[in-house]
Amino acid sequence: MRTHLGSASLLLAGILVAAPGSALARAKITVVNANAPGIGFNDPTPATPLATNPGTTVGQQRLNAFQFVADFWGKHLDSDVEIFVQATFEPLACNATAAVLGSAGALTVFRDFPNARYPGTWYPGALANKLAGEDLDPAVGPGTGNDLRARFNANLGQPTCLAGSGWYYGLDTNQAANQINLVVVLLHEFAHGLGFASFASGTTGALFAGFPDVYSRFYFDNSTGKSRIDMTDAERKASAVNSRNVVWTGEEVTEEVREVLQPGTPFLTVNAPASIAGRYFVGTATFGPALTAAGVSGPVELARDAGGSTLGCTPLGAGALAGKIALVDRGTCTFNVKARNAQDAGAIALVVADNVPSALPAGLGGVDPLVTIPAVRITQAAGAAIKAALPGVDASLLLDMKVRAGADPAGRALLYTPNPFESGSSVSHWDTSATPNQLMEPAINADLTISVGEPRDLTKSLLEDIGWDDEEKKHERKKKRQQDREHRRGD
Amino acid sequence: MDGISRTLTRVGPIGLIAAALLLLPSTPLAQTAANARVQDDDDATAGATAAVDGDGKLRAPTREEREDLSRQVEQLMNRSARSAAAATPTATTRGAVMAELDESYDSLTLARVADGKPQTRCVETPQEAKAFLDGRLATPSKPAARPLEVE
Repeated sequence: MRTHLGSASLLLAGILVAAPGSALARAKITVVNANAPGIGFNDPTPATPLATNPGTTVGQQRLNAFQFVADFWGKHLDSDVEIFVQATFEPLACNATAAVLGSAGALTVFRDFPNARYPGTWYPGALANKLAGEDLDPAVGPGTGNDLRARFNANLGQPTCLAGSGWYYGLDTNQAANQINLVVVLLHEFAHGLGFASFASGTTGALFAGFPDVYSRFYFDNSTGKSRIDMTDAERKASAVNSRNVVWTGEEVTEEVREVLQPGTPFLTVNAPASIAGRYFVGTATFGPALTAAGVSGPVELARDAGGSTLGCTPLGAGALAGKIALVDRGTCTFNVKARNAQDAGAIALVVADNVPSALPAGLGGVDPLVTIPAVRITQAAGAAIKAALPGVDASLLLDMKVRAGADPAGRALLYTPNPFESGSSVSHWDTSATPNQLMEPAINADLTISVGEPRDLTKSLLEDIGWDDEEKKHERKKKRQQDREHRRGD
Repeated sequence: MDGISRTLTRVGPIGLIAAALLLLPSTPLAQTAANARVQDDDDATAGATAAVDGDGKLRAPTREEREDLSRQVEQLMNRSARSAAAATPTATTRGAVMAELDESYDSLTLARVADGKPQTRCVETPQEAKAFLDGRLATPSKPAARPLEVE
């Protein structure tokens, strides 16, 4: 016996009928309520109906949010086989200021099934069913096996569980600053369960049960020139921390990168000396002017105060850095204080060298409306290389408009492969440099909209690359892209 | 095996661990009023128990709270057993090969308070969870994102 969401689906019908495109759902995704009576989805606690969620109990509003996400994904995917999501709201680990919000993933994987596009390749259950055109789960027969699992925290917002916060159950993005949007988190987690995930071990590089997964077929390491499926375990492990050098090669995503990701990636380009010439990643600042395509160029000078400190925390002398790009070390004072001191000394830009090792520089936080020069952070290693080459370093700080934010120079979307591995997740997210923020970045950012496809998001395209596509629609999209390209050439 | 039995078999051991954790004595929580302003700093928050600071803003987790939750998350994720946890693949009647995934293959979304607001992050390893809870995951360069560090 399965507990379906009959009442929730009916309640939502009015909302969904009004939503554009909702009547065109191509895959049916059913939420299976696995909660016992009186708890979770069946919590009878009265709730005030929201503009977009008419539920009158907490349980009902939870059901509505889940089914909304199921229907939302359903209208973006194609499958003749119903997809079942085993769902619960239950108490999960938390304390007053931090919490597990929830977890989700595929329940089964299949390989070498009828119509599989790649032999010897694991597919998540729902996708395998779609490609096979039938429910492949042999244990319980067609239509009865669950494909995804989703467990979410029923205690959020209570005094013992992220007190002062709580779920926002609206089917929009009108959450208050202290609330967490359940729909957005669910959209993200459902995507993992639908196939935005690798099943290989991130810590050892070992494949799942000796075979690659379909996700890994589109994972490519620019440094080694190898696809993840062609790597040894050791190479996979090394590639998982090869920051900003791993890309997604799927055609659908690559086509959409130019529509979705903004042009412009910030770099510090060292023009001379030749021994260290090249582009260095930078973290940009929340204060001061944004970097521009024209950028600023000049000699780099290590800024020292009267006492010889290179921290930039005290005045550096009026005019001492006129026309120079000031290089200082991170530490002791805030970034905007360093920027003000460099600016007051006549510098045209500030470069802060990190004081801890990292593969990529983080941004510079802070607020100061009086800072008028651009400021960036570089890694500790880059800082050491530049210092060793001083004097005589000439550099430019600019936004390279040919490289989209979150893509490599060839226009392929970057996957998240942070170094060290322990400070970041495995390879199953977009890189955090993607702009605008993407649903499938590891951080579920507060500015996300309810969107999984272009012009805002790349998630749907990735799922299409692994097999959630429709041949007819694919052909139409290709034709339109070709026309668009010809149109642009004509202009 | 009927549908509900199938559902229960797939709840798995992690669900049981989660239930067991709920029975453990909880850490000091928000019932105690501690109205002194607290910062996102280990020393300043040591011993603090209220979830809001003196200004009524959500406060960052204390070291004790972070470590407590990190331990629980590690038990939940049990990532080190990922490969070993994989069920033995079995041949299906339709000629395919199938394997069940336990919860060590799920992604996990966490929340912590920073700058008075909840931050959320999807993690896939206990190490990443700990780094997030410790506030060590500053966002690399991106105009749309607010970095964590100011100095």
